[in-house]
Amino acid sequence: MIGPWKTSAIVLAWALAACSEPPSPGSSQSAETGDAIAAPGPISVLAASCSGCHRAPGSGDAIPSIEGWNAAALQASLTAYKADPDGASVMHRIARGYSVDEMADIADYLGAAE
Amino acid sequence: MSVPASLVAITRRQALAGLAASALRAAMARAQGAASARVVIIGGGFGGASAARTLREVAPAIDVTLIEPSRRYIACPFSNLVVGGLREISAQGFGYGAIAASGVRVIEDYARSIDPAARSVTLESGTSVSYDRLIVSPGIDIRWGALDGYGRTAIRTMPHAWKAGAQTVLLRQQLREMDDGGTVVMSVPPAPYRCPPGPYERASLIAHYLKTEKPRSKLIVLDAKDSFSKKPLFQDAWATLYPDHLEWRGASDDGRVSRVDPETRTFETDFGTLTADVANVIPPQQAASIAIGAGIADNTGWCPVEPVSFESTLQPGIHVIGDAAIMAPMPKSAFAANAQGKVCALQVARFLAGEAPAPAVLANTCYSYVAPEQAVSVVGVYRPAGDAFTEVPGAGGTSPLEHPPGDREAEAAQAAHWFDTVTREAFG
Repeated sequence: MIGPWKTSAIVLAWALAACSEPPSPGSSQSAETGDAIAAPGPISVLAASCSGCHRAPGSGDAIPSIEGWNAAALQASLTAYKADPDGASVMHRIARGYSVDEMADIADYLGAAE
Repeated sequence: MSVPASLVAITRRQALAGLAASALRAAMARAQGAASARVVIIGGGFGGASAARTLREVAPAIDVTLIEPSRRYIACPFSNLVVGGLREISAQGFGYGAIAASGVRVIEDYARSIDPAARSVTLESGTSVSYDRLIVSPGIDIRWGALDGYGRTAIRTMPHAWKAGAQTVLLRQQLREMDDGGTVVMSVPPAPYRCPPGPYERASLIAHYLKTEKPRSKLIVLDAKDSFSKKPLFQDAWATLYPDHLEWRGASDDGRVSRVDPETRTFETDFGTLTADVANVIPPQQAASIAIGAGIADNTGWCPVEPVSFESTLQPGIHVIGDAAIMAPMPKSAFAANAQGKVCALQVARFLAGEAPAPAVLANTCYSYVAPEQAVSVVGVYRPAGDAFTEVPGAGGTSPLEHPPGDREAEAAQAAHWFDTVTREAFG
């Protein structure tokens, strides 16, 4: 459930700005034809660990599926794990490593992927 | 194994220059109508396979090549269940068909050498493959000779079974053929090595096999360390489940093995010798030889990387992930390699798009079986801090020692679920 990727615009423009020569007409055309590489957004990097356990519905329900969850539900669940001082499950132990803001970003990102 | 003196660590300015250079090179190539940006990945384990599939998903404009000599990958996680007679080795195998079908060029060959200056990889077949960015995920090699007496031929009588496959099956077979009343001896090296809790999971499952199938037999673990991952949890399980079948000796109890004799299956420690009916030597390890030869390993035998994009601090344009890389305190685990593979792919796509890498947070969970239906876990969350990783304080930790009924069983079910999910993510 990786994606969709928030395309941060420019690709060639940045690279060529680092070069002393002005962009050539050919290069900008290349960007417009879609050959350019879209940079994956920063939240995709932040959320990359999640899918090792939660990517696809696995066998059984030992690890809860997050398929179909919206952002608000994901954020509520993540912050509840983080806020529970007595919780000892794997997810409790992971949740304590992320800030509330990061959880909101991750929830938006994974929830939006549906 | 030593690093040429000329290969000093690259500076941040050089790294940024490299960023601009590689993005520029890729951009110019496209502008000139040449082939798209090329990423080559060496090694199709959890790290390399995850990186390849992530790149295809996030950046279809990038040309991705995966170099892997094996037709099928044999996974190490869960291979201790095979040793313990609880799982078939066939359940450990994963092919590269789905990765190839996703558009990755899969080359079934051995990567012989890397030329960082020319940005090319030479294969055993003699052909070369050029790259804009290289991801190296080659795993470990045995550090032959680091344990006196343990050479390449020793693995027939004292299997390591630390790379899953034929060695796993051999150790299982030797356990099966052993007469009841026999002694099994396992030696454990000093850290770092692949899968920190792996030896203790294996010890648990061998002890379970002996208890159920050969109850007059015993396992003795000779350890070069006094403490290890999840020690209180393992020792609690051993005292409860295997009091008569498993004896662990740490470094301060003469557990450190100084020499082995493969002819007689004998282990020598500082103060004694022990002869086994079945011997399992988990030997000292290092990054796989391709990394040593390419000058991306330091004098520890492992590969130093910067902690955001895992770019080598010794060779720009080369990223190292998985067991071969120095990621401490993150462990050398399949879970970590999968997470690193995904993050590395995303950062490489960002580099090639002309963006700086984004801040990464990595989580790791290592499940270990202590019995067929019982497992314990250790979790860590890691953030880059300076030139290394730091473990987030207050997060992570192990399963609780005092636990409600069903807790160990629940974690065993989670372990199986994780294996299913992560192998599908990596291999399709």
